[in-house]
Formats: sequence, structure tokens, C-alpha cells
Amino acid sequence: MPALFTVPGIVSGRFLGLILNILIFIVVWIFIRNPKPVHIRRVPGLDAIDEAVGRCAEMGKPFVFSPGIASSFGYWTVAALSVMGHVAKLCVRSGTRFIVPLGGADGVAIVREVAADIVKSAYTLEGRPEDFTMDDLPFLSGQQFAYAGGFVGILQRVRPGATILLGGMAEAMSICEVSNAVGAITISAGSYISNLAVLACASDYILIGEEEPAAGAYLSDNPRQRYSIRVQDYSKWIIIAMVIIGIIFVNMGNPFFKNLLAT
Amino acid sequence: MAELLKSREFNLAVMIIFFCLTFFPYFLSIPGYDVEKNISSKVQLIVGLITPFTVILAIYSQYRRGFNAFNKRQRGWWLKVYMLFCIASMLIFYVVWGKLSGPYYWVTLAVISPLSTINYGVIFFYMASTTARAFKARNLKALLLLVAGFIVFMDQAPLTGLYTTIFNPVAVFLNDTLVGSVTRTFTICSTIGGLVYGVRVLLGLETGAMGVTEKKEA
Repeated sequence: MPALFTVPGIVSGRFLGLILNILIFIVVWIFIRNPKPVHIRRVPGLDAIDEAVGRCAEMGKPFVFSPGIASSFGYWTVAALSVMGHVAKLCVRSGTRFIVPLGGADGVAIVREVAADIVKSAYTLEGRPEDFTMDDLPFLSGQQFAYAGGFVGILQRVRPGATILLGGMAEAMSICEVSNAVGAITISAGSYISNLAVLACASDYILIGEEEPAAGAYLSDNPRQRYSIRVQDYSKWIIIAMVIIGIIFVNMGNPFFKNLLAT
Repeated sequence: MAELLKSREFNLAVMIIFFCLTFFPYFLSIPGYDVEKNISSKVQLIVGLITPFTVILAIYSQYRRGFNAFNKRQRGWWLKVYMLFCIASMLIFYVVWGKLSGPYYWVTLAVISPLSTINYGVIFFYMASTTARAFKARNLKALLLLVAGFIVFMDQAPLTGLYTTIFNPVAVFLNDTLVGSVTRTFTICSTIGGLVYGVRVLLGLETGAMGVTEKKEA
């Protein structure tokens, strides 16, 4: 597709992308500087986290959390780590054992250090640094099947009260089903579309699409973070408008809009 | 020094520098600078170096957990002992006879590969079990999903798919039109969520990426 125009100094076909990125950055910046009370629709999967921790505390069972296998170390993994900080604090506060099986891809070697820091910080902030142990953050294997096998083994042995699987997951189906079988509340996120259907069936709650990246802000009590979620909604409206305009232009046989997107 | 390296400001500064080094050259044409051959390849090289450490970390971690389980005689400790024996044996086989011949090769070919297929069998079983559970239409939305799933299933199942074409047009429509648009919607939503999340990380609001958990703001 030919671009409508080229801008000197900018790679051809990437001008609109640059503008959109900068625009989103500026809008988020403005939103977080002037936060207002905002209504965010309830996400059952995230609301269930408190319930899950409470259930574990009442039953005296551990809580198992996975930030995924980080095969590409994308924002899914980082977003999962944000949620992990929140869950770790809740678990420490309620005296629930917090287990984080790690592995599945070589990238998790990096995640392990970050995850350990997060869990350690949670223990320190709640005034119980001596209770932190690396044994509850086992690195199972860099290989997918070995990781899944180890994870399932942990679920079978410790019989957790709840399991959360966020980030990119390996063998999520097996892990979710075993979690179900041992009677744990299972909350998962479908980080890619082909996984969604099976996870939706196998889990008690599922986070879809942008719910996981927004989860950290949703769970935090920081009004600035919560208000920034509103930018996502506005961006979606803009995209919907672009899709409708695009459909009209394409059906009219006018290449203007396609060329604009290629600019 | 350790305090500095772990501080939020230092981590944020490193993150912003790497963001600028990869983000702007992607959009701006800088003469003589190829982002994919410079920063990205170097970062990938660093990540590649982590792989051998991952193997060592996994072996260390498994031995540590295995010995703990053995000492405490935890449930299934003898399986741990067997696993540690296998890890040690494979290491010896590899060092003495190499990877492409001898006992290491035989174990990989005759034991590990066949056993790996069990995973697929287990997944198949779980898929069937989950699908059976999902076949409950509790409301209109669930009923629509169920009908759509049934049509696609019937079209792709060997018997009905081969001997009748009744389901084919609807299944093709569902796969090509609805699934395509849903996939794009999912991608758009995830991308926007990722973008806004990235901005929050760069502005220091989301500290999870830096391994820091914050107290509630007053």
C-alpha cells in the first residue's frame, strides 16, 4: 500500500504509529497528573483474588501463583509480576503460604530474580522478612514439559486453596485441570487467543485481552493508576471509529484510508 | 552499591534509556544505525547467555528440593531420588559419550521422546473432559457458543466432516469471519492495554517490573 505522504527523518510507513504512540503517552501523562475518581467496571477474575486468598487463609492451604513462562518476556509477564506483588502482600498479611513455581522457558531465569524481590519486599513491608524463603519460589526447569510436570506435582502435593496463572503459560490446560481436580479456585489469563477457549472452560475465572495489563492498576488503590485505565477505553473508541470509517472507505472503493494507515 | 542497583530510580533510568534506544530508532531513520542489528541483537545476545545459567539453576534447584524432600521424607521422596539419579546419569552419559551417540542418545530416543507423547495424551484427555463440562447452556450466550462450537466440531470431526457437507458452509463462515474479527479485536485490545501499561511502567507507577512492591498511597 502506498503511503499518503512521507515525512523526512521518519521511516516510511511508521509515521502514524509514532504519532499514536506519542499521543497515548501524552494523554496518559495528563490523566495521571490530574486524577479524578473514576468508575471502573468490575472484573470478576480480579475481584475473586481477595476471596481466593481468604479461602486459603481459612482452610490453612497455600496459594500458588505463576507469572508465566516468559518465553518472550513481554508485557504479559511484567503485568503478571505487578499482580503478584498485590497477591503476595495479601497472602503475607493473612499468613498464607505463597508458592511461585517458576520455569518453562529460559527467560524465567530473569523473572525469578524479579519475582524473588517482589515477594521479599511483600514480606518486608508486612513486617515479616524472616518468613521469606526461596524454597517457595522453586525454579523447576527451563523446559516446557518439565515445568508443567513439576507444577502439576506441586499442585498434587500441597493441594492449594487457589491457583493463579498469569502471563504466557505452558501447558496451561494441564495445570488448570489439575488445579480444578485438587479443589483450588483457578484464575487464569488467556495471553493468546487459541488458549482462551480452553482456559475459559477449565478455570473458575479468566482475564481476557487488556484485563491483565490493567490488573495492576485495577488492584492498586492509587487513583492515578486507576484513572489511566480510562485511556484504554478512549483508545478503544478511537479504534472502533477507525474500523467503521475504514469499512465505509473500503466499500466505497476509496483507497484513502488504507493509504493513511500505511503512512 | 547494591542499594543503588536495587533502587527504583536507577531501575527506572535504565528502563527509560533502553526504551529510547529501541523505540526511537524504530520510527526515526538514523543514517548508519540499524536498530535490529544494534541494540536488539546485543540484548538478545545477553539473553542467550542466560540459557546455560538456566540449566545450572534448574539442576541446582532440583537437587536442593530433592535433598530437602529426602531429608524430610516428604510424600513421593523416592520419585525425587529417582529423578536426581536420572539427572546425574544423563550428565555423565553426555560428558563421557557425547550427545549424538551412546547411552545419552539412546535414552533421548527410546525413553524421553516416547514418554513425552504422554503429555499430549494427557492434554487430549483434559480437553475432552473440559469440553464435556463446557457443554452446559445455562443462558442465551452460552447456548450460542455451544451451537457454534457444535457446528465447528461436527464439521471437523472425521465422520461427519467427510461424509456430509451440511455443516461446512456455516463452519467456514464462523472460522473465517467471526474468528478472524474476534482475533483482531483481541489483538487490538491487548495492544492498547500493553501500550498504556508500558507508559505507566515508564512513568514509575507500575513497580512490579522492577521487582518492587509499594505500600498503599495515603
